[in-house]
Amino acid sequence: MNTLEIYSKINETLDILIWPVVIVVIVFLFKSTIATLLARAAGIEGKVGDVSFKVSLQEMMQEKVTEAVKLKEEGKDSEAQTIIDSASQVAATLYGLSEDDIDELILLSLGEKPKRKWGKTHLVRAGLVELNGGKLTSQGKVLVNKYLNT
Amino acid sequence: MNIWEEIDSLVKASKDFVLTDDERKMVAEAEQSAFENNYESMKSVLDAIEKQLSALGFWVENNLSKEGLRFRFSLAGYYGPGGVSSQFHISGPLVLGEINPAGDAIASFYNNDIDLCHKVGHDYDVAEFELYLTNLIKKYLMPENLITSKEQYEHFRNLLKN
Repeated sequence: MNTLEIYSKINETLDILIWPVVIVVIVFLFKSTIATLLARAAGIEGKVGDVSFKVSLQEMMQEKVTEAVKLKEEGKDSEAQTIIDSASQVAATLYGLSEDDIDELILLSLGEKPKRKWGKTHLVRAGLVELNGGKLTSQGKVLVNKYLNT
Repeated sequence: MNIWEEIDSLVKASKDFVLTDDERKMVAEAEQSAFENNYESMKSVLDAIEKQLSALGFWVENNLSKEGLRFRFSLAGYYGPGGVSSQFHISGPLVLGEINPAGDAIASFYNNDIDLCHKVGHDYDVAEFELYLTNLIKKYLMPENLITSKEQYEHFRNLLKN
């Protein structure tokens, strides 16, 4: 093996190794950021108003509802109800809804006129009602009909 | 989680309950123009109440302009003044803050719950406005607000029963 061959071997090895090293360095540098992102995506952190979080909440709810429907089909009505109850409780907690908020959302879904011109800020932030007019958004309608209107 | 991360997450979480600057500006402009539209209706209500109160010996400040509203009243023998002034609620709408008769003469406070506040912008209603103010006057005249001895409160409470 002459010098040139050794040189090109080393070069090739470096080429292969460089990306894993870069990835390890990136992971090391942004460890906390990545951990936060993963935690959010998994819906572990109960932060309201975060897009990735909302998606996972929706997924979780869909899963719960499917499970409940299946149980109902099998004739296990009370177990299905328990799942729906706990799911709506989770939704309420994660969206930061109070009892009053839930009552209001249900009244809105039944077609009542909004109590005031401007929607409550945290309901607007959760994407449930419109700021101007205080009406339910389409996402709000889905949440209320599926999870709160039991 | 260190203490600053904790504080940071609290600040971020509270943002969900607070309007952004753009939203606030949009709401404030709409509410202000609604308030200006309500001006004539409010003026007639306030002038009528001022007349009634003055006849009863009250001191009254009836200060309504297109910029805002301050309506205060006081009666000798009572803590005072009581009354209201217009303020923007933290969630956007223009509401009436109440002046604590036993506290500061100017500063007014609104309820954190927007549904318990009296709104004077888009959600203004003339009948509700009048009812709200007359109830406020009744509240001002409660025995608790009278500067007298505790024993005499009973006498006034009995008067209220009849």
